[in-house]
Amino acid sequence: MRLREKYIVYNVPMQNTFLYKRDLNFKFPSNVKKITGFLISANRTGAGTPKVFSTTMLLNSEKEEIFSGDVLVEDMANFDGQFKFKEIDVDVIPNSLLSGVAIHFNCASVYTAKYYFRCIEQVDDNMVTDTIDINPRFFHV
Amino acid sequence: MASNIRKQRYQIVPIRITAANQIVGINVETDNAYDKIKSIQAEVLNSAALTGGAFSTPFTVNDQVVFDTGFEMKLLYSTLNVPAKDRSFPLNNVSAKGAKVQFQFQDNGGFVANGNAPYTINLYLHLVNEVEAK
Repeated sequence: MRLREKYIVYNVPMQNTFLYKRDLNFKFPSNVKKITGFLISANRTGAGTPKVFSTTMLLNSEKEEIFSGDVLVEDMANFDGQFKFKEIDVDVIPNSLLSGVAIHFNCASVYTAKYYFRCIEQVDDNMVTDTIDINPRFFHV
Repeated sequence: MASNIRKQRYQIVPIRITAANQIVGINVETDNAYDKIKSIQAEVLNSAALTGGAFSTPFTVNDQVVFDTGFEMKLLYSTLNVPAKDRSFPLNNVSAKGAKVQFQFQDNGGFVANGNAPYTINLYLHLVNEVEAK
């Protein structure tokens, strides 16, 4: 068993109405042990794309709050050089459910908000996979 | 005895987009002379081309997912406002050593459809040996 980093993406479709609010419901895979960062991005850019997003994220039936507040929506329009993940440190039990809400104040177009999570997952190296890849260069007669 | 171990290499993986909504499949092996992929960096001539473009299958290294389906290429890009040494997206403990890197990238359609020229994203895999990675 070893730990490795993985980036998980959840898509949240948003409507172009004033103060649009949407429920979040993400289920994390059972091998995810920790969440170390998150980032919210809009899959479009230009006039009308929300710059700031208000969100609340709770893990496992509101027992643990991951985040609550406003975050910058990372897109190419308000881009200042590099996209940055918000650093968090949350332990995750198997099959955890993340719930919460996403709110934007105004937007001219329908778009998809993407929630990215940087996770630490546990990998079982002894797990049998259904594909076997043999590279003949590594065999010597 | 002097060591001949090379410390690092930037392996380039080009992704050529010639049509709107095109999907490009990539299947490469990393250089066997290096232990780890330390970081990854996307470069493109016009950053507007990256808006909405994302991996349409997971980005995997030796069949293990690093970036999920839907991860946008723009997150691996940074502008010249960022110091060169900080421009690469760090990866944590990803083995190289001839690792199989596989993914599909899908263009979002807007850039080429609006009359812009085809573009190429160069993905730089920063390969290092263990000594350098520490």
